[in-house]
Parts: sequence; C-alpha cells; structure tokens
Amino acid sequence: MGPCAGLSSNAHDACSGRANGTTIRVRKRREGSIDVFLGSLISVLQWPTSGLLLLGVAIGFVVGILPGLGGAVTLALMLPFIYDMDPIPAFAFLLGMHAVVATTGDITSVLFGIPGEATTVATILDGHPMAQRGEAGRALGAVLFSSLVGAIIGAAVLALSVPVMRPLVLAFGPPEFLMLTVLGLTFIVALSSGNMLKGFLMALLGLVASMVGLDPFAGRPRFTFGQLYLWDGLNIVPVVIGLFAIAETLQLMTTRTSIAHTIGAAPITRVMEGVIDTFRHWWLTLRCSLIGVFIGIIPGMGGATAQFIAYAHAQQTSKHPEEFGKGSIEGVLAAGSVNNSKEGGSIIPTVAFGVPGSTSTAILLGAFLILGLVPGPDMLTKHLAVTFSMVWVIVLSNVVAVALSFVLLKQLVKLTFVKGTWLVPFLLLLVSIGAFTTHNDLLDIVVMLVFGAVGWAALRWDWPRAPFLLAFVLGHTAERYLFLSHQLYEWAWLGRPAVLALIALSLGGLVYSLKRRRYSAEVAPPGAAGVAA
Amino acid sequence: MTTTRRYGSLIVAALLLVVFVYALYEVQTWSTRSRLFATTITIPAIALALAQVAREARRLDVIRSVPVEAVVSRSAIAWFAGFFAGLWLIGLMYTIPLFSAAYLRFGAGEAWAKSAAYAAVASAFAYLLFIRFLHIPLPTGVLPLPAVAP
Repeated sequence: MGPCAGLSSNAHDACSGRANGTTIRVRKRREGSIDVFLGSLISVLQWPTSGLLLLGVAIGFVVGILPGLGGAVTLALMLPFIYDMDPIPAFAFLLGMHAVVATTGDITSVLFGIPGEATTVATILDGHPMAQRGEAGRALGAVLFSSLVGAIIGAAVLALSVPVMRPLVLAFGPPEFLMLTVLGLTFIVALSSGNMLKGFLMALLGLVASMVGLDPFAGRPRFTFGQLYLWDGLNIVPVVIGLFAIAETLQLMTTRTSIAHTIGAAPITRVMEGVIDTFRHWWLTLRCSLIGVFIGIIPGMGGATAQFIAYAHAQQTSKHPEEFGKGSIEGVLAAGSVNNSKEGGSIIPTVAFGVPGSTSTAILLGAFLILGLVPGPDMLTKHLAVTFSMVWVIVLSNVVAVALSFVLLKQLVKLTFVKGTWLVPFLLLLVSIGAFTTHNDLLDIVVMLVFGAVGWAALRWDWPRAPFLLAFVLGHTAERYLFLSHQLYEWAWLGRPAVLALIALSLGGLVYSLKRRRYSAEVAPPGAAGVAA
Repeated sequence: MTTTRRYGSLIVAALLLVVFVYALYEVQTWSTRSRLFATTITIPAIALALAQVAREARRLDVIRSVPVEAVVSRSAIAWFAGFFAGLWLIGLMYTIPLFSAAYLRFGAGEAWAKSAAYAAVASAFAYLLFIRFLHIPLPTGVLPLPAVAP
C-alpha cells in the first residue's frame, strides 16, 4: 500500500505528486553522489595529488618501520607542509601517510616481535611465533593482505555512511553538536585513559588552552599576558609537535637503539600462502574488519583495543583456540584485518560531527581547520568530494603500500637496523621548521618547547595527553555551540530529547568504563594495577 | 627499573589547580557573553583539581615505576638544549651541520667521517627542500651571521 492510499482524489494527486517529487529528488541526489564519488577518484588520480599520495605512502612506510616514530607524531610533523595545499591533495598526503603506518608496523611485529606501532601489538602474539618456526613469509602475506582487505572494508563503510549520516547531521542543531563534542570528550577520557579524573582534568586544561587569544564574540584578548603573539591564539601545529614529538625525540636520544640489534631476520618465503589464507578464512577477515570499523567509530576505544577485541573474537570462534598465541594463522588474520579497517570508521565521526575518535584523527581535524574546512553538514554536502576523496585515498594508499611491501619486503627489513640516534638531528630539524612555519616567529618554537615540557611531564607522571589535544582542538567548536545554544534557548536546550539522549550516552560510557576498570582490578594479577590503559 | 614517589603527580595536580583558579579569577573581568564558556568549564575544573590534589596527597607513599618512554637521560637533555641554544644564537642553517656532526661524533660515538657526511647531507637536505624548493624562511639567530639564501 502506497503512502497516499486512503486520501481523497485531490489529496491523492497532490500527495502522489509530492511523493514522486521526493522520489525524483532522492534519485537525483543519489546519482549526484555517485558522480561526486567517481569524480573524487579522478581528482585523487590527477597530478600532483597522486604524487603527494605516493609521497605520503613512502613516508608512512618508513615511519611504520623506524624506531620511535609514531603515526601521530609524523602527522603532526607534516601539518606545516599543507598550508598552501588544496584540501584533496592535502588529505591525499596526510591520510596516505597515516593509512599505511600500521601496515608496515606489522612487519617488525612479525619479524622481530617488536611493534612498529602501538596498534600492531596483537600481531606479535601469533605472527612472531610463526616467524620463529620459519613461516615469516606466510605470516607477513596474511597480515599484509588482510590489512588491505580491512582497509577496503573500512573505506566502503565510510562511503556508505554518507547517505545515512547526512539527514542525521542536517537535523542536528547547536545543542546537539555541543553534546556530541561533550560525548566525544567523555568517551576519550573514559575509555582511553588509565585514570579518569586525570583525563577530565587534562581535557579541561585543553579547553582553557583553546580560549587563549582574542574572544570571538567581543574581540577582547583572553589569557594573552600582554603578548601580541598570543592574540591569534595557540596554533595547533606547535602544540601538537610539542606534546608528541619532543618527548619521542628525547626518548630516542636516551635509548640510542635500533629495532633490530643482532637478531637475524627470519627467511621470508611462502608469502603467497599467507594471501591465500586470507581468502580461505574470508568470513573471519570480514568479521574482524567490521569489528575494527565499529570500534573506530567510537571515540577513545583506540586501535590497540580494536586489535585485541578482534583477536579475542577470533579465538572464541575458532575451532582451534589452543593454537592462539603459538602461531595461529587465524590470530594473525584477526589482528591484520582490524589494523586499517578502523581508519575508515574513525573518520566517520570526525567528518560528520567534527568529533575525532583518536589522537591521529584529532590531528587530522587540525588539518581541516588549517585548510579552512568545517567538519559537519558541509563535509556531506558542499565538500562531499573531499570526503569521498578520503575513501579513495585509504583504498589506493593501502593497495600501493601492500604491493610495495610484497616487492620490497627484504629491503624494508634493513630499515630496522637504523639507529635511533641517526634520526635525532633530522627530527630536530623537522620539529623546528614545523613549529617555526606557523608564524615565522621564534615564539612558535618557544610554544612548542613549552608544550614539549607539558607532554613529557604528562608521560612521566601518567597524565593522558590525548584528552588535552582533543579538547584543545574541539574547544572553539564547543564554545561556539554553547554560545549559540544559550542565545537560542537559554538553558532550555538541556531538555531537548536528542540532548538528553546524548547526556545518557555520555553517562553510560562513564559507568561502563568504571565497571570495566573495577572488573579489571578484580581479575588483574598483583602488581598489574595502576598501569595506564 | 626507575621508580619514583608520587610527588611529581601531586605537583602537576597542584599546578593545574593554580591554572584553573587563575583562569576563573581572570574570567571575572570579561563580559557576560565571553564568560559563559569559561565559567562553565573552570568551576568544575577547580572542583576536580581539588579532588585530584587530595587523592595524590593521600597516596604520597606509593612508589611506581616510570614509563620507559618518559625516561630521559641528562646527556639527552643537554644535547637537546644545545640544539635550541644554537638555533637561537646562530640560526637553523648553521646549527644543523654543527649539531649533527657534534652529536653523532660525541653523543652517539660514530666515526668522524660518518658524522661529517651526515652533517653535509642534512644541511643539503634542509637547503634544497626548504629554502630552494619550498621557499620556507628558516629561523635565523641573534648573532649577525651571513644569511643562507637561495
């Protein structure tokens, strides 16, 4: 029965006319979206975007393998290079680099039992035992190819989420966006940090830091201490570099080691067998990829958590759970498929609501601001091509990375012998230039050093850095939405149904986190308590 | 394994309390519109910071291990400070070769030839990529040395 059934003749005509009009508009929008989707592929393949994508992939490759350098740090170091770029080339460069870091991080996890990235830790559990019994090539083939499958699934979900997200985002007003910001911050604090109170305090400090500069409503300087330099506010680039890169550089200067010391690399053969394993266990690869996507969507859950949840799922559903931890191919596939599928998932809330789910996506959000893009409705309408280009960048960069990994595997392994000390002068050069290019002012470097001290102190005394960064990035948005909500509805906005639902969700996240922590404390062995998540 | 008492964490919590109290004090001179967001966050921030200070003060005797990534040697800090002192005094283009050669030779124990080669490559990289290709101005020092220009 149609929607116009039961109406009078005139009403029926009018209704069916409206229904037809709506159907035509929906069809046109769908066709328009497909055009934009295909057009964005052409944009990504054009020069110089494709060249920047390859450059990003090359940097991501090296960073994934080199000691001490993380994906988030490298993203921060590369931010200054995008100032003069258009959005699509800029994201091809940044996202291309970020998307492959975890892929190559798996190589060191398998060969040396040392994760190139924190998000590739679960790969060690079965990948390294396989390497030890002479199946390094098979493990690498499986983990790299399942990573590619995961990346494609994550990117597909990102693309398919656009028509679902668009009406939702367009229906939201300032109060709902404000509460989404609060929800994102709450989840980051509740799920990712070891101590919730410390997490909240760091988030609140980030919000205070975001207020430095001229008041956007009255034009009055706030927390500028008479410094004209601070009237523009604290720029994200020196802040991020300081928070993350300084501590890592100092650590490299202290440890002075390479990933591979005297350990001989295992022979790399039977790579194709690992690829075939991915097809043989396609249902497991698909399930674990989807786990990665959905965990990626939830702010604060993080890549490492996603890997272990998928790993546990694989073990629970396996016919041979006793082989897990001793070199199970299913364990390798579970860890590998999550690696990159979560990237597509974590970009969804960043693009649609401006709420990043992790440190890396918070830095990507900073890139949005540098490029003059505002996440939210515009990214699903006016700038849809940029959003779709991200989908293609994730897919293409992973295809290139995995293909190169197979071809250059033996040469890439040699990078693990690079000593940390050899990277130090180069890193110091990059951090200095990265910070300085913000305003071409030595005070940019001072800001970086101040936040370097903050980042190191946070690491030293176990205060989480991610909530600070997220709050700092989201501070302006939160202030604007609070102001608009208050102007429009006074405090009555707190009673809106969607706002109440989001408050309930935030509280639910906190309660869940507290329960999880209590449970962990009960089952954890003595001495394990107090370790930050 | 390096261990520490919780004085540091207590000091961090106390510093945060000071920052939030100062922020709330400063906010009082702002207009009502500007004050809305700041007041909304600083009042709960002070309450939470007080709770954290009290919590840290109660657990001062607890000894905990220092995370591996936060262990920094004195020599690392000295070299790090040396780099930025050089940058401030003589600028980045002079600091890079001098620091690279000195750090690799004396800080990392590499041979002179390797250290010098690295310094040359790093300087060439910085010059070609940032000055010639990207035209990015690099920090110059306070000492009047000849500028490195394309």
